Amino acid sequence: MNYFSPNSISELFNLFESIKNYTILVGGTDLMPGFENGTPLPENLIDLKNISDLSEIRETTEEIEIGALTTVTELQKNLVIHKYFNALWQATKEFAGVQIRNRATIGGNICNASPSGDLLTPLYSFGAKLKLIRSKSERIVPIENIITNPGEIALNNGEILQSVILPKTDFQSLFIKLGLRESMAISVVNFAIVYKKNCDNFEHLSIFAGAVAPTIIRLKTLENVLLDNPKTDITANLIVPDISPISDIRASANYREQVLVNLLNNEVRRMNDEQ
Amino acid sequence: MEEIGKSYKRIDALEKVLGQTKFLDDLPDENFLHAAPVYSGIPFGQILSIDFSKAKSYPDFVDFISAKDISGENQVGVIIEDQPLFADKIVRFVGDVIGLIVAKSPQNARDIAKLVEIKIEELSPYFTIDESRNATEIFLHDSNLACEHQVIRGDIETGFTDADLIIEETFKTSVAEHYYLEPQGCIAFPKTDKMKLLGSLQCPFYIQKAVSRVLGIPLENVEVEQSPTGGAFGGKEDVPSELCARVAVAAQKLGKPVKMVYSRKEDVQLTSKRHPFQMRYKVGVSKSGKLLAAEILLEENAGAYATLSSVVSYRAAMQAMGPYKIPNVKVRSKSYYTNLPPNGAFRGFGSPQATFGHERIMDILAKKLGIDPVEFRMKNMLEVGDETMTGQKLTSSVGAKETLQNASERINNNIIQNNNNSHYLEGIGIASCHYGNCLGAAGWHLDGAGVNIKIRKNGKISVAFGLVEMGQGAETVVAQMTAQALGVTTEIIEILPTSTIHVPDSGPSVASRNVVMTGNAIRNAAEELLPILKKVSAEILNCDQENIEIKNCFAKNLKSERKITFSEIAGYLHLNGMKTQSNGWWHVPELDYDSETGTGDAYFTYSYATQIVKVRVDRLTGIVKVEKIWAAHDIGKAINPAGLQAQVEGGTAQGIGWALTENFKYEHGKAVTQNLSTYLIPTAQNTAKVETILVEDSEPLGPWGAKGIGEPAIIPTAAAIANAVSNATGIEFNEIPMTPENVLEKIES
Amino acid sequence: MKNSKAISVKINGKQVEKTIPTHLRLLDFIRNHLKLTGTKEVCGEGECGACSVILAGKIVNSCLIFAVETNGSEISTIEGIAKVDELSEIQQNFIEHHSVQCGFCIPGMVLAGEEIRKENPHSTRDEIKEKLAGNICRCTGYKKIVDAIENN
Repeated sequence: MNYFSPNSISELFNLFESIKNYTILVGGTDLMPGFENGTPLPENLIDLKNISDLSEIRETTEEIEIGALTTVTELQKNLVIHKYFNALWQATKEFAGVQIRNRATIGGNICNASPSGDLLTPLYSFGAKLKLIRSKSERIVPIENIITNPGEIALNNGEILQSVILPKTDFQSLFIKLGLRESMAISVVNFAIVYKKNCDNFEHLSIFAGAVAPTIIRLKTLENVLLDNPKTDITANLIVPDISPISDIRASANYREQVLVNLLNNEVRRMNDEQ
Repeated sequence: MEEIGKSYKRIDALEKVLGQTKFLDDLPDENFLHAAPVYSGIPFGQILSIDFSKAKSYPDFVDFISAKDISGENQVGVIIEDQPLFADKIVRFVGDVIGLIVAKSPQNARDIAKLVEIKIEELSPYFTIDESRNATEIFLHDSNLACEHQVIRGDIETGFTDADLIIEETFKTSVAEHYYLEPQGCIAFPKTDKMKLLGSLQCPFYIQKAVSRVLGIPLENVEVEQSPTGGAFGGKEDVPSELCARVAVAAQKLGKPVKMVYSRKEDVQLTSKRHPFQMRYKVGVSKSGKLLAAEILLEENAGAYATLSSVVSYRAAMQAMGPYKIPNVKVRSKSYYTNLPPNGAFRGFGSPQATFGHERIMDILAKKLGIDPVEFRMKNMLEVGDETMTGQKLTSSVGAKETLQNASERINNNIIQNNNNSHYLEGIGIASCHYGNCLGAAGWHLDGAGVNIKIRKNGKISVAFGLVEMGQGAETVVAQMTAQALGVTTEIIEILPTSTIHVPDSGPSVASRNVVMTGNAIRNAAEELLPILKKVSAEILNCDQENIEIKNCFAKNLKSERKITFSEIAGYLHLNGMKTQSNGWWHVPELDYDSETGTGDAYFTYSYATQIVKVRVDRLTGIVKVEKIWAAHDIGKAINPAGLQAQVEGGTAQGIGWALTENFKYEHGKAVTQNLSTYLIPTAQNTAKVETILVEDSEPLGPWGAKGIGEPAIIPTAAAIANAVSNATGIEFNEIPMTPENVLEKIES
Repeated sequence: MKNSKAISVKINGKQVEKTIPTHLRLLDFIRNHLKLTGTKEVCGEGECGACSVILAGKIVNSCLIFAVETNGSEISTIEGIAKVDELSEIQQNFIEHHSVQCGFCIPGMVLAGEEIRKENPHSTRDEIKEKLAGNICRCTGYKKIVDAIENN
C-alpha cells in the first residue's frame, strides 16, 4: 500500500494527476474496521489530514462553513454550532465514544454515506450544502444530491469534499437517537427536527430520519400534516409513505417504524407544549 | 491487627495500573512458531477430504497439524469422552477444529489457514433444543441426549392434590458470550519427552491431564503454568485444555515452542458460551402460601460436545427450587446436543438460569395468592434446621432470610406510583438464591486443593496455590489469609504464579471455591508451621512456648513483653536448617448423596443472596434501565470487603447485560454478533447504582467462616430484573434477553 | 520503498525513528516494534478502548490508525503516565479505590481517566460515565473505576 499525505490542496491535485486508483483517508474510524473485517487494502491511500485548509470553521453573517476534516470533538466544542445548530450539536454528543469523536470527521461521516450516520440527519434537516472541489473547478451541491445509496456518493474522480455549508437561521432544532444501548451504539432510528413556531403553528418545519431508508430521508407527508395542524396525532400511516426500513441484526423493520412513530409523537407533543 | 476483614489493596494492582503486567501476548517473542486454527465452516457433516497443498506453497508455511499427528489419544472430552481434539471424521459445529496451521508469524498462520481446503458432506443440523430432542435419525453422537440428572423426593401427586393453587409456566434464557477481554492463548515449550505449557487459563490441572493423554506421555511430564489472565468467568475452564493440547501436538512434532492466541472472532466463534435453558415449572402452593410440590423440567442446549454440560445440568437440578422448603419435588434436567459451539461454564454454571425459573414462578405465585412477594418468600425460605429441596438438612450458616430482610428494608422508601401520563414505567423486582459452594457431590472426587507455604531467609513468605487469579482477587485474599494464619502482615506475603509443579492437583478454579478451598489449605499448612514458629521464638526469647504470641510480624513473650521480629525467626530457622515450608491440603468433607434419586447433601454449604432491583421501562422504545440494585449476600465472612463489593458490582453488571442487551445470535451455526457493536455488553452508562449489603452468617467449615461470592454476585440479577419489568408493566416477562424490541412488542400488544 | 515508510515520532518523550510497513497499525507499532505492551488489543475495531493512547494531546484508539499517519506527532502510552518513581494521581486512585480486577482494560481506563481529569477536574459521575463509554470493562461494573476518576 502506497501512503501519501499531501500538505496542501495543490499538492493533492498534483497527486491526482499521477494516481488513478486511490482511497481517501481522514479519521479512519470507519475505514479501519473495514480492513479488520477483510476489505482488501487499497493500492494507494491518500491521507488528507495534513491539509490544514480542510479543517477550518468559517463563520459569516449568513452561514457557517465547516471544513471536511473538522472532527466530531471540534464540532462539539464549537460555540456557533452550539448556538445555531442544536440538532447537530446533540448528534455530536451521542456520536460513539470520546476516542472515536477525536478522530472521526464530518467529511468522513458524509462520504461514508451510512444510512445511520449520526451527523447526516441534522445536516440534511438544516439544508446542508457541500462544497466539492477539483483541480480547476468547484461546485456547491445539496447534501442529498451527493449521498445516493448506502456507502455510495456521487463524487467525481479527482474531486474531494472541501467543506459543509450550513445557513444560519433563527430556527430551533432537536436530534433524537435510539440505539440499543445508552452509549456506543449504532442508531436503530434517529431523526432531526428543525422548526420555527408562530403561536401554535409551525412557520418552518423540516423533519428528517435516519436508519429507516437507504439514505437519510425527509418525512414529507408528516411535515405537511403538521404544518396544517401541529396537534395531529402521529400515526404510522403518516410516515410509512416516506420510509423503507429494513430488518437487520439490530432491529426489525417493524420496530424501527413503531419507535419512530412513538418518539416523533413525543417530541412533537413537547414542541406543542413549548411557549 | 486483623488481616481478615480488611479491604487490603490488591497486590496485583500496581503492575496493572502501570501497564507492566505481562499477559501471554505481551511476552517477548523468542522465535516462537505461531499456530492458527483450521476449522469447519459447516455446522454438521462428514469430512470427505482435507487438502493443504495450497497452504504448503506459502513461503512462511511450517506445517499443517491434524489428527494424524497425535501420538496419544485423539480425545479431549473432560467428563464424557465425545470430543476429538482434531475432528477427523465428523464436524459438529462451525468452529470445530480440524487442524492447525503453523507458520512463522501469527498473521501469516491465520492467512494460510484460510487456504486449507476441506470438503465436507453436509448433514442437516440441529440448532434448538426442540430440534435436537425430536430427532429420529442421525444424531450428533450415539443419541442427542448428552446427559441428565434428576431429583425425586416426597410425592408430588399428593403435594399437588393438597395444593390450593397450581401454576405452570415456561421460561427461557439465552446464550451468552463471556467476552473476557484477553482472548484465549497459550504457548507450548517442548523438552525432549516433556512438555511445558504457559497460558491464559483457569484450570491448570485439567490441561495437564488433557495434554498428557493427547501426547501419550506421563502426567508428571506435563507442566502447566498460568500467565496473568485477563478475565475468564468460566470461559477459560475447559476450553484452554483444547488450545493447549492442540498446540502441544504441534510443539511435540516440530520440537519448537509454538504459540497460539485466538483472534477475537475465533474466540467468539470457537469457544464456549452460557447454556440457553428452557424450563417448565409446575408449582403447587397452599392458600396460606406454603410451597407444597414442584414438577420441573430443565432442558439445556449443550452444543456440539458435552464438555461441562453434565455438571451444569447437575447444579441447575440441585438448585431448581431455590432457597426454599418444599417437601415434594420431581426435577428432571436434560442437556441436548446441538450443532452450535459447545456451551459450558459461565459464572453461575446453570444457577442464573435455574434462578430465573424459580424466582419468576415465586413472583407469579405471590401475585396469584395476593401475598407480598417478600412475605411469600420469607414464609418458605430456608433456615438452620430445615431441609433443602434435595432433603439436605442444613445445620449452619443459612443467612437467606437475613439477605431478604436486609435488602427489602432498603426499598421501603421506594414506593412506586406509575403515572399514566409519563412515558416511563417504574418497577421493583426481587430475586433470592442459594449457591452450593465448591463442586458438590457430582464433582466431589476433584474437590481438594493445596498450598505450599515457604518462609524465606529474608523474612518474607511465599505462597503457591493450586487455584488461580483471573481478575477476581484470588492472590490478594490468599495473601491476607496466609498472613492471618501465621500472625504476620499481608505486605510480606509473595504469591507465586500458579503452576502444576508447586502443589498437588487442586481441581479447577471454578465454583466460587478459591476462598474456601485455599483458605482451609492455608490453615492446614499453618497448623504445621505455627508450632515451629512458637518453639523457635521461645528458644530465642528464652521463655515457655505457652507465653509466645505471634502477631503482626512479631513474636512476643507475653510475660516480659520482649519481642523479636518475624525476620529474625525466619533467619533462625534457615540458619539451623529447620523446617521452613509446609504443604497444606483441604478436601471437602464426604457428602451423603444418592445419585439415583438426586437427594441428600448436594453441596457441603451454600451462599445465599437476595437482590432487589428498581427499573424504569420506556414505553416509547421498550428500553429498560436498571436504576438501582440492592444486593444482599450471605458470604459467611468477608475476607476483603472492598474486593467483595467489586465482585458484586461486576457480577450484577454482567447480569444486566444478560437480561437486557446481550442478544447473541447465530445464523446457520455461525455467530453473527461477532463484535462489540452487535454484541452489546454494558458500558459505564448501562450499569446500575449498586449497594452491596453484607450478611456474615459464619460457616464453621469455611476459613474464618467464609463462603464463596464470585458466582452468587450474578445469579439473582436477571431474575430480579425480569420480576421488576413484569411489575412495572403488568405483563409477565418469562424470557431473556428483554431487548427493547421484545419489551415494546409486549407492552404495545 | 512502496510498502514501507520512515517515520519519526516522539513516544513518551523519546524521539523514535523507524521504517515501517505502511499498513502497520499504530497499535502494532507500539506493541511489536516499540515493545510497549501496556497498550492492549481487545476488539480491534474501536469499540472497547483497550488500545487507547494519547496522540497529539487527544485520546484515540490506536487500532484505528495507521502508524504512518502519526509521523511527526507526539504520543503517550500507559508506560509514559507515571513519573520516574511516582504514580500519577489517577493511577494511585485506581489502586486506592479497588478499581482493578483482571487489569486488561486498565491501561486504557487510566488514560481515559487522565483525559477526563485534564479536561475538567470536577467532572460529575454522569459526565465521567459518558466519557468512559468508549472503554469496555467486563469485570468491575465500572463503579470503582468511576470512583477513582471522581476521587471523592
